[in-house]
Amino acid sequence: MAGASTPVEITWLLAAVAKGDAAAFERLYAATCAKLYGVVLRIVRRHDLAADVMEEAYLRIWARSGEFNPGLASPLAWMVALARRLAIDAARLAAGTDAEPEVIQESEGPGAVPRHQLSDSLKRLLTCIGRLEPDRQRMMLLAYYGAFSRDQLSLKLDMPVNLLNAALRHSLVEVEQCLKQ
Amino acid sequence: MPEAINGGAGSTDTFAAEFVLGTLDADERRAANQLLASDEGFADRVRLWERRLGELHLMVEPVEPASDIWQRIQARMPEVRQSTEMMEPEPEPAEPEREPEPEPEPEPQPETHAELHSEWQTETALEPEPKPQAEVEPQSPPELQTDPEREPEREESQPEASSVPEDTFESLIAALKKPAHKEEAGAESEQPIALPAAPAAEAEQLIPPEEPTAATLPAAAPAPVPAPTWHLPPEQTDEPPIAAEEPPIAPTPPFVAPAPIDEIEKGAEPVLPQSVRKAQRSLTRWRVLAVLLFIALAAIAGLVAAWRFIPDRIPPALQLVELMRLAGIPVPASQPPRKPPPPESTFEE
Repeated sequence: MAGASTPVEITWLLAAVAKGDAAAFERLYAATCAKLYGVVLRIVRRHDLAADVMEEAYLRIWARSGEFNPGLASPLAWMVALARRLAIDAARLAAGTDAEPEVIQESEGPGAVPRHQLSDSLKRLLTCIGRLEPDRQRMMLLAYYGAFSRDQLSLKLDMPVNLLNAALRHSLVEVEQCLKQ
Repeated sequence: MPEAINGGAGSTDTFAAEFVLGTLDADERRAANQLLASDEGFADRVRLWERRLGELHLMVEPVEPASDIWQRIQARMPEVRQSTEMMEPEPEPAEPEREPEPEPEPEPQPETHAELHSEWQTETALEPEPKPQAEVEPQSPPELQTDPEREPEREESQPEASSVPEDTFESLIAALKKPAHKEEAGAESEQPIALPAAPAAEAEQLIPPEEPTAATLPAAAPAPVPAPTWHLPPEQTDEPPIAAEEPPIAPTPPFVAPAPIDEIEKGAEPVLPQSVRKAQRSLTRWRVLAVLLFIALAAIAGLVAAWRFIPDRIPPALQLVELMRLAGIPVPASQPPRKPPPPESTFEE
């Protein structure tokens, strides 16, 4: 559903929400919740946690939609970034407190995207990530989609933590350089 | 300070990048969150990285959340909003259509959703309920779908995308798939993340960009596709992948619905994006033009009707003859009485 709403619509809805329009907020939720839930669920990997994060994320959006600057980011990217921060914090918190088994099957990677949905900036980013060595490509995407900590990543990728640290920093610098070209 | 910061030159940036990427552990994140609140420079770096990596979310397939989440959000909306409402003195909304105070409703989400749709429809006085998707797609004007807000974001110049072989994306995503070890279908029916690992052959069939919807796509690696398919004509590129439950005329409501516009015009602070305001202004101009044209048309029609039915009562300045003379069309001074028929005709009778 989220893919069906254009950024302009979501920007409109956010502007209305900033004015306290509750109906617009409901529309905004309907238009974006599936995308945000998909992102959050990949990170926290439990439905109950994901629901908590969603609640918190949308309440922040409700309270702070006036802070969104359409000149800087696409509206959905702004909402996703907000939800990701909360989701990663929640995931770390949950990992620290209990050893509850993961309810959700971990997934390794993102889904395929119809070509026409790849935005220019995404193509550019993927091009830059694609210039990394294959192992590092995988590391970067795993890190983003699963938001695994370095320890978790080193287990998953079977790579010593110090090597992983170096690889991670290198990769980030390379991607940054590439994007700046 | 967490050790990630002690890494040498440029490591604050790496710290921000790792914060966004999600690789910091619990302690480091706590430190980062504090830094975020206190250090504007760090916050800027974080936002920059969020912008850089932000579009990756496009590749996450949507998952429908449980419907009670919305009710939980709705129940807490008033308390959360209180603080922000104090800050901006807002004129009391008098419109009856929109409930100013969000009341927690016990209905399940699909119903409120449908209600919302019908509300939009009555407001815009348009087509009835049944999914008019076929008519909707052509209606959506291309300029609404292009994203003007994205432009300023291009602060980093374009790397020559063509220099990288086309299949890097495929290999990239395929690389993620490699250890598809635990891909068994889950017991949970709505378990969305365990995705079918489609063989490459199937994946190839899925690739034609028009067909797949984001919801039905398995997590298949995109198969090699010739480059030209990327540069699709705009109608295709903007085709919404899932539109079955969309509001019928999704792009129009904000421009037609009176309530948001009124409110926005009243509002003191300029939250609205530039493009939206521009669209509003041009809409107003078109409306005025349409009204003027309509008035002119009505006046002309009235005049013509008067000539036809009450020619005697028209003031002399508006007489047809007068006007024709004004326009330079030669008119015989008065209608001469019918000439007597020529002699030949009388001859025969």
